Amino acid sequence: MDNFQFFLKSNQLTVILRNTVLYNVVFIFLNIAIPVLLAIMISQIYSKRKSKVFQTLMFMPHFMSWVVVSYFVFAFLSPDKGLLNGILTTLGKEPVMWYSEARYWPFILIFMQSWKSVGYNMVVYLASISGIDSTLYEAAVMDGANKLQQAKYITLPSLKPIVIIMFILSVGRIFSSDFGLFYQIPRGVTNSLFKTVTTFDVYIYNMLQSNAPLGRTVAASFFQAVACCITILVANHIVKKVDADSALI
Amino acid sequence: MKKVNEENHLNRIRPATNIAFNGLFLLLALMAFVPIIFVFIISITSEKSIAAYGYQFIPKELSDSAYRFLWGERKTILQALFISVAVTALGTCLGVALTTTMGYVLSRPDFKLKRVFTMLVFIPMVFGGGMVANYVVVSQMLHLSNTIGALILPLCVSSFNVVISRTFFQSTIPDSIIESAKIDGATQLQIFCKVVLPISKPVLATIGLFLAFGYWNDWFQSSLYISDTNLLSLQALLNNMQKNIEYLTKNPTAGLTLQAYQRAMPTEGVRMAIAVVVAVPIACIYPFFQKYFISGLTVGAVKG
Repeated sequence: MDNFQFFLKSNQLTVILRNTVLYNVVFIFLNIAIPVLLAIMISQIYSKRKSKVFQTLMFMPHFMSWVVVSYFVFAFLSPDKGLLNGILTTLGKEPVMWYSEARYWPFILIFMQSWKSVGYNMVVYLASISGIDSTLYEAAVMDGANKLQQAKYITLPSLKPIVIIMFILSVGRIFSSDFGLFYQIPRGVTNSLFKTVTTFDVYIYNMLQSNAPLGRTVAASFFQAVACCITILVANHIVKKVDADSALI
Repeated sequence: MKKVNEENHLNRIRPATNIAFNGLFLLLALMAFVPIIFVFIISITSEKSIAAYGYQFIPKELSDSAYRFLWGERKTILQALFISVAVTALGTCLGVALTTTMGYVLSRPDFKLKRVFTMLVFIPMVFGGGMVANYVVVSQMLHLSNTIGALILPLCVSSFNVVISRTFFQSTIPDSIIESAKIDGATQLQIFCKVVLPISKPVLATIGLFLAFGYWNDWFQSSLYISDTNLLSLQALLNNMQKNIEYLTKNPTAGLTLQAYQRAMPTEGVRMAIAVVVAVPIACIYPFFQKYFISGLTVGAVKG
């Protein structure tokens, strides 16, 4: 019990709780909004071959591990050799110490998360778009609906079930975080970034690697697991009320 | 919608919109792919050029010194490659075997313990024990630290994959086939191996690929459990090199002290060259497997 008290009273709890939840809220929103929009757009491209090529290329980041991606990011952000600072200096601006300036990191992390997952998510939604009965669109054309109206009244409602499933799955994980993203991309969390990028998993991992008493680490980890469990059950319950067919359990 | 476009040219977006969309997706596709090309270019840029101008898309001076250096250290690299390949191969085979057998029994309506085992599979989907629980089980109960088992077992069976395979068996294997096999006197194992598996190739491929990419890309298990440098996978090597590049320098060329050898190393290029060695194989093969991932996702409309 002391371990839990220690954890609950430590002022780090609020920071990591805030980080974990806020990042996840942004990710959930962007991971639905952007890929759905892109999926609808790519399904409209004339040439199916081009569309396939775009999809394949955009799918690539999904298969890269965060370690590899961290090297990609480093190539752009490295303080002395990175491409971005190179461009900044040529433009006559001061180079930025990317890896120690906390204020840029929310944007970098959000951008990288989207970069890695947008192609994958887009393909998921595209798969359900191509499953939509084409007679619906034919009927809509007869009724004089334009493309925007078709997207709004046919495509989006047809995507609702899969969006809801993706939504519950990600809400259920709101207290967990993609460890690789938060640990690898900032290249191990330095002190200056601690308040901005530390999430539950990073915090627990660092405790596990340090000499912190195991009991305290367990307390933090257990707290996270219970919080996750509750959120997924609640999310599932709400979805069941709204639309029983889409509930997970 | 695809069909609509092909059959009915009236219901198309305007040509201008089409061009705009094409441009947008071209840009996004480039954004997805440019970093890997950039890292490759850095790996073939000479150290001098990097020191003077930083990382550049069009380097002033090319050099193969990074790759030559890696070739000199091929023992370490090949050892790591061997671990990566062994873990991926063993883990995928074991994982597919365990996942599909579990999924199969859960799909049979006449299996008496079905409810209990379904619960057992579903609980971890909702309540995961967390990182520390896994850590304690693997390192302190099973004593797997610094064994290849620590790299394979934790990722082997996931509830998600079991549910995918169960749903697949439930929806595509007709009961009548199994009944008729039973009447012909086949044992359960024979039914599974000779009747069910041959018609379940899509789900085998999907789960196998999920597992294979998971194992190949894993560095996390390694960072938790492995300290023996002989058991480092490529990803783990790359991970460790972030902190110190000296991980690689164990075999100085004759006539050089270790320090001199380390100083002579094309550090920047070597880091990026290893990232290239890890990333390029995947970038080359994933297009061929992409469709299984997509079919797995659509099967993955998992329902309890």
